Formats: sequence, structure tokens, C-alpha cells
Amino acid sequence: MNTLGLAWAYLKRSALTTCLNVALLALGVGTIVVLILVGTQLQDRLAKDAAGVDLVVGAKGSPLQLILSALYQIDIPTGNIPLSQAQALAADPLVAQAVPLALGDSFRGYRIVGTDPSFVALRHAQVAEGRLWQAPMEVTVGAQVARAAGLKVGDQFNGNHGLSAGGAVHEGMPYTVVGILAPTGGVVDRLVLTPIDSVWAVHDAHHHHHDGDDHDAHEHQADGAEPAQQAPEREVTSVLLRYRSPIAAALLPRRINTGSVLQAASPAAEMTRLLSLVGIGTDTVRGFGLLLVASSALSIFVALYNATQARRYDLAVMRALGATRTRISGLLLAEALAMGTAGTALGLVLGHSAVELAGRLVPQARDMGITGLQFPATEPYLLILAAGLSVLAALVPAIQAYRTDVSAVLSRG
Amino acid sequence: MPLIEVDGLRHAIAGRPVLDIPHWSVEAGRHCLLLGPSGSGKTTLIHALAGLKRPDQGRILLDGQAMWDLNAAGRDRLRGRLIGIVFQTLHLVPALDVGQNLHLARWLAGLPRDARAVAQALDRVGLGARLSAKPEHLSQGEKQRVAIARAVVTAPKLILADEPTSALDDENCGLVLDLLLEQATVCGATLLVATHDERTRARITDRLELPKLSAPVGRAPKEGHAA
Repeated sequence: MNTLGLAWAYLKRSALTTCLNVALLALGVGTIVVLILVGTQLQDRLAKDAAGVDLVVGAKGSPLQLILSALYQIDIPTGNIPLSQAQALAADPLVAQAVPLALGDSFRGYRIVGTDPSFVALRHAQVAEGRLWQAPMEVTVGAQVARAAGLKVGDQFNGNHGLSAGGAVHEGMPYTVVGILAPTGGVVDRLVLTPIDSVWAVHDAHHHHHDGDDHDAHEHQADGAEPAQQAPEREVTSVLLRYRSPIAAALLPRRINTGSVLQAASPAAEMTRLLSLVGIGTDTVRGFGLLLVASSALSIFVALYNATQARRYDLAVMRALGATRTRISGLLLAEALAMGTAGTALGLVLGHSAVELAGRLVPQARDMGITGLQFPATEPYLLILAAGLSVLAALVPAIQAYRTDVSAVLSRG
Repeated sequence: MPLIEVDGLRHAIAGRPVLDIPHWSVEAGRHCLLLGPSGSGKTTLIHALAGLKRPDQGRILLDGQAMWDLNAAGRDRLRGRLIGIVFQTLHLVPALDVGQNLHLARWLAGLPRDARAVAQALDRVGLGARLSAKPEHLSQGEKQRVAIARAVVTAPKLILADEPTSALDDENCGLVLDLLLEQATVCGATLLVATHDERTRARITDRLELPKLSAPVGRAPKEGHAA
């Protein structure tokens, strides 16, 4: 017999109340954990994938959509731009580096991106196996793609038309895996990289096979600004730019947005805008989580308060058996702490499992690279918060029990 | 050295005197009755002896130790070490089974865990088989016996029993008294039974008669002797 054993016996006796308190706390803590996990990973991902890119140039449309599609590969592109314009940008003296991207096809839901090998350097990715692509129809795949599809160097596969899984298969134009990239935790992990020529070649073949079929995702978005009836004009989807000097930030976006059919969007500005939009939502959910935690603390308080009333005689008898006042107060604190710890632990498990599950099952979350197996530095504070709240909840009952006149209670009993 | 020594003990509740004992002592091994009508301060005296209720005046020595010179925690420890209490309403801890109730008493008394002592104490009251029964599944008679076993499992020097028989019929009254005396003898404890129950008078010869004090008195009442 000890304080914990005794606390356990009492918690078990009022199992329903105990479970309710633990569940309330677990839900509150779980909600906050999910928010912290998703929030930090989202911001990390956003910051990481935007690193090194000063400006994204693509077809006119929503700047946010342009950033999301070109930089984060999560939205559909705004359309395509003529290759000649992209090349003109790359030659601009204000531009230090320009990486073209051509989208349109996918492999099992993973996007096939036509680009230069400089893209790999921009993303700080490294080849883990094999080599980078050189010739058309050669691909180097991201770590996650290789893992999910079980691809090895030398394997061949056909791409699907469109950016989501389930599009028509491009028969007769197989890609060959020549390399696999090491995991970066960024967007590259989910991409299939190939020369832009491959994308053009596949689509030339596609148009050849399906005459009159113009269901290209990018052409849908093309806004009519760039009619695709003239086959020879090559196109890319977007260009990632690095400035040569800070002056470019002042001149280049303005010039592009006013002077051409192109649109320029700054990742930093768009992400700030996005986070401020999403922020209102997460603040609400975080408030809701805190409300759940607070209500569970209140519920623990009511449970313990009632318990000390119902157990007054029990506690007095324990005093009569030789229990010190400290020990009786300790018993109530132990019960509150046990509920607090159990609720918090359960909440942490719930939160992490929910995020991990979402990261595996929900395609959008998987695309964001969400994982529940990450433990942010803020979590210990959550434990301290929950423990502190449960002690606070036990404080009044504990003080009451401490001050009880045992003789009076026993005489009345 | 007497086990209990009380000097100049006075206590009043809301201005009405309930206790006035100039001198009283109990030698170890001499079981004693605490007699008097209700309202004569029997429970107050029991609680004062147990260190649960501070008397207005007077001195209480238990086994040579002045109970009310100790601080609260010290009184709790002395009570746990020296005294076993049997309540009229028994009050076992309902969240714990029979064995755990006895373990609880030993733990609160600061004694090491001893499963054999618990089993023996239950065996001696004939409840060795009910070790893991919950109090709510016991009959009243069984609860009574568990309460007695709980009082003796800490091997106390003094067993305080407050009206242990007043709710019982004649047969059970006799059984409980027998058990109390027997258990007190087995563990070498001195039994102090507070009662207004006439049926107990024949079993224990030493007694302290407490008169019902009606008005504030300046004069000491008849001195009680128990030695």
C-alpha cells in the first residue's frame, strides 16, 4: 500500500468520472498537439521549399496558385509560358539563376517535372544511387517516390497524363530510372525529375495518338493567352529565379507583371499572406483545444471536490489510523496528477497518431510530407501545463482535506 | 509507568463543560471501560487521547509521551504507532478490499508491508478466506470483525473502541466483546471501551465513570480509578 496504490484504488472506484476527465484532457491535449505538429511542419516545409528562390514566374492567374504549384507542387499550375520568354528571363542581367519547370504528367500521383539538373542543386538534393538524368526519357526520382513505387535504378515505367493519379497512361514512351535522390524532407522527395525534352516528347506523342484531344491540365489553365494550335512553340510551366542583386527585387517583379504576359510572384510575400489567412483558423482551433484542456481541469476539480465531500469520513478514518495531513493532501494531489498525466500522455499519443495517420492516408497531407513521428520542443511545456492545471484543480480539495477537523467528522459519522 | 495518564483534563464545547478529570491513569494490560450517558464526553476523551481533539486544559501522557506537546504530524505518528481504533460505524475504506484495508492501516502507522501479519490478523478473526473481498460484499458481522482486525494489525499498545456494541443485538454484542478482549490479549494491547451499553459491564471490571456535566463546575467530580 502506498499513495499511488491508494489513489489508483479510488480512481478505479469512480472509473466513469476518471475516464471522462482523462478523455477530456486527452482530447484537448491531442487537438493542441495536432496543431503544433501540423503548424510547425507546414511552416518548416514552406520555409525549406522556398529557400533559395526569390521569384517564381509563370502564366497569369492567382499568384498564390503559382507559388503553390511551382514551388510546393501542391496546386495545379496557372498555365504555361513560351520557352522563349523563359530563356529571355534567364539571360536577364538581374537574374543570377533561372530554373525552368515543365509539368503535365505524373507517375502514381507523383509529379513528373521536366527541368535542368540545376534544380537539384537549388533544392540541396543529392544523388543517393545512380546518377542525374542526362538524355530524354531518363529520370532521377525522389526518395519517397522510389520507396513508395519500389523503383530501382534501371527500372522503367510509363507516366500518366495529368497531375493526379488515374490519368490516361502514356503507352510506348517509358521512362528509365537512372538515379535515386537522397531524402531531403522537402518537395524533391515527391518528384520525378527528367529533362524538359522528355515532357515535350511525351506530349508530342500524346497529341499524335489522340488527335483533337487537348485535355492537357496546363492548357486548361492557359487562359487563352497562348493558343496551343502551333505545335513548334515550346512551352514551360514556370521558372524559379534567383536575383543577382537586391535591386532586382525592386525592378524585376514590376517589370514582369506589367510588361508581359507573364506573372511574377514572391514566395515570401505569398506565404505571409497564406499564413495570415490560415492563421485565423488555427488560432480558433488552438483556442478550442485550450478550452477543452481548461474544461477538463475544471472537471477534475469538481470530481475531486465531490470526492473529498463524499470521502470525508474515509479521509478522517485514515487520519485516525495515523495518516498525517500531508499524506491525505498528497493522496488527492496524486489522484489529480495521475489523471493529468494519463490524459496528457493519451493526448500526446492521440495527437501524434492522428497526424501520422493523416500523413499516411490523406494524399494532401502526404504531399506535404506530414509526419506524426516528430516531437517539437514545445511539447514538454504542454506536459507542464497539464500537470500544473491538474495540481491547481486538486489544490482547493487538498487544502480542505488538510484543514479538516477529524474529530468533528468522526463524531458526526 | 502507566499506559495512560491524564491530569487536570478539562474541556468545554460551546461554553458547556463536557469533561473534567483531575486525575486518571490506566496501567498496561488492565482493560478499562469508559462509562457514562451520551453527552458525558466519552468521545471527546477518546479523541483527546488519540490526539485528534485538543482539550482546553490538562495533560495526557501516552506510554510516557505527552500527546499534546507534539506537533500535528508527531501526534499522527504517535497515534499510528500506539493506538488502534474501532469505530462504532466501523467504516472500512470501500475502495479497498479487506486485505488492502489492513495493509492501509499498517502503512499509515508507518509499519513495513507484511502480508503474513495481515493474513494472521484476518485468520484470528475467522476471515482468512475473505482477504480479497470488498467491504460492500461483507455482512455486518464480518465488517465488525474486519474493523477489529484492522485495529490490531498494527500491534498497538492501546485499542480505543468507541461504542463498539451499541448497535448490536445481545448475541453479537457478546461476540464482539469476546473478540475485542481476545485480540487485545493476543497482541498485548490494553483495551479502552467507551460505552453506555449496560451489557458490557460484566466483562471488564476496571472503569472510569464519566458524569454528565450540566453546568460549569468549579469542584472536581468523583475521581475515576483504574489501577
